Amino acid sequence: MRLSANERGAALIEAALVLPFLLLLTFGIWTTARAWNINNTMEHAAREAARYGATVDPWDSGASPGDVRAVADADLASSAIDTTAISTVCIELIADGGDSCDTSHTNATGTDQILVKLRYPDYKLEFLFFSTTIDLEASAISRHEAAP
Amino acid sequence: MRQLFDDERGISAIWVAVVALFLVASAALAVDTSGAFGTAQTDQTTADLSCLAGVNELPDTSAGINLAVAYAVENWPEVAGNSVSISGTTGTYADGTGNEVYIEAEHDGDPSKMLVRVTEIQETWFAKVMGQDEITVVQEAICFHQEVRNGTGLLPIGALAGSWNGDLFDCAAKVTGNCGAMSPGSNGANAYRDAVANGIVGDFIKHHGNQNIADPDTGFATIDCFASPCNVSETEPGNMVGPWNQGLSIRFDDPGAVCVEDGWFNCDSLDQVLGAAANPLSSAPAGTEAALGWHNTLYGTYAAAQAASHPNAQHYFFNGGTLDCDSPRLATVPIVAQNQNWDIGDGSGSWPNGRKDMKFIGFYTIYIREPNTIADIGGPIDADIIWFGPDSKCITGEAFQPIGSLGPVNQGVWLVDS
Repeated sequence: MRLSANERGAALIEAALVLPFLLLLTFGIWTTARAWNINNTMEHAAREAARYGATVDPWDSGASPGDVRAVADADLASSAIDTTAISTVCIELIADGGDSCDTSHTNATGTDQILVKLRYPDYKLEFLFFSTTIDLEASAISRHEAAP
Repeated sequence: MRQLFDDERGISAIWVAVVALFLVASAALAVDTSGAFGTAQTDQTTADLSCLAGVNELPDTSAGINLAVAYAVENWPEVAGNSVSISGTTGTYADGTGNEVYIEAEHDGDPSKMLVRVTEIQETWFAKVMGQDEITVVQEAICFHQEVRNGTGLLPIGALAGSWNGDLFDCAAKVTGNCGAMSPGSNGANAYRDAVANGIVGDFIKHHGNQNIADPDTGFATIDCFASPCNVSETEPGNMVGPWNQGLSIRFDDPGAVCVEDGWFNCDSLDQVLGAAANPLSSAPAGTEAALGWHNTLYGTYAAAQAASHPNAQHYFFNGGTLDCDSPRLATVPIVAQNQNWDIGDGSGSWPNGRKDMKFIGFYTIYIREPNTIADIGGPIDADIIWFGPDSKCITGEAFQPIGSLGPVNQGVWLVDS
């Protein structure tokens, strides 16, 4: 009876019980927000890269993809994102009626186009006590501006 | 009763439950808001790239709307399978659930301006609890298609796109006596001499040739070139060495020059013109060429320009500081293209010596390095190419404009608002 009447330390024990839940929530918010942020930045980078690629003429399938990727990397790096973690799925000139390295895509616009598709494979979502991975993807398709 | 209120066991749990409820609600709101922001980002991509694709087709509004829709679907495949509805100069592409692409092919009544508005219905995850089932995301892009129609201070020498090497008057690879001379608006040696001295000022007007052939690149009838400014100018045929040298002598007879040689000749160095040391083009930060719209079609491959080793045409990058914009050594050279499909001249002769029509498609900004003394007049003219960044300012404080203030300086497609 004397033991149960003593409330010293009760708050501490209760805090210890709920703290893991709070930390889980906090880490969850943080890691999810970071993933959103990276995905949005990748989207922006893909758009900027595609717009740049639209002006690369003539397109050199050997060198031009690297130049376009450099534009995307500059955008990603400005947001402190590790560019080495992001892979290039497709950076290519697709002629009218042509197929893409992204097998789901065929160009039917009547114009040549530039496709930029980036992927952050296995991005790790950390929830303090456990983690999981997801793939982040962004793509943009721009009309290729032919020589005047 | 007193015992009940004195007993504080479980108070932390209650507090945590209340705070956790708030935190969970905040997190849920953040998820839905983040989802909307993510959707806005992809929709902006759709609007931008759709607008830039379609505006190039103007003034053909139907073709512009259809191509804009095609690129909207390319970047937003979830709405594929619907049809576009065109009414006048506007078009709508909708899937019946609220998702829509709206296009104005003549935005603000301007036949070269297009608006693309993307509306997407974003279903919520957690806000449903509060009765908010969806969020409407609207993103917009306005762009325009611009052609060069006039200018100030242009040196009347055309450079073919992507192929100019900086030898303004070293005619080794061209026809002796005429190195791409362009008509300054009126024909004749005296007009050409004055244009070398002071630059072409005003609109590009054409006075010869067939008036009835439309430019297939733009759809505009070239007859407009006679009545109003257009993007086509004539060459100045024949031997232009004499007028060129006379014009150059006048150009460099500048009492306001920083220094004078032989009591007559301007000798501003490139560093004096820039107000700072010139940097090689390779010093330009990565991505600059994209940000500034340096178009490979016009200027040649950027990487090749960076690595240029031609002794008579060094490439420099400059962004910031102050420029002696009035220096006669700083000049703008029009980049021209020739295409028999829209060449409305008489067809005689060949570039650069014959009477031809050349389309203005862009500009180089150059620093005229040689001749450096009066004795060099009549010899080769060498020039370096300067790639200006957006922060370049004239001594007077105004932003540097390669060809002055009369008209647009670039050609191509541009986003006005995004």
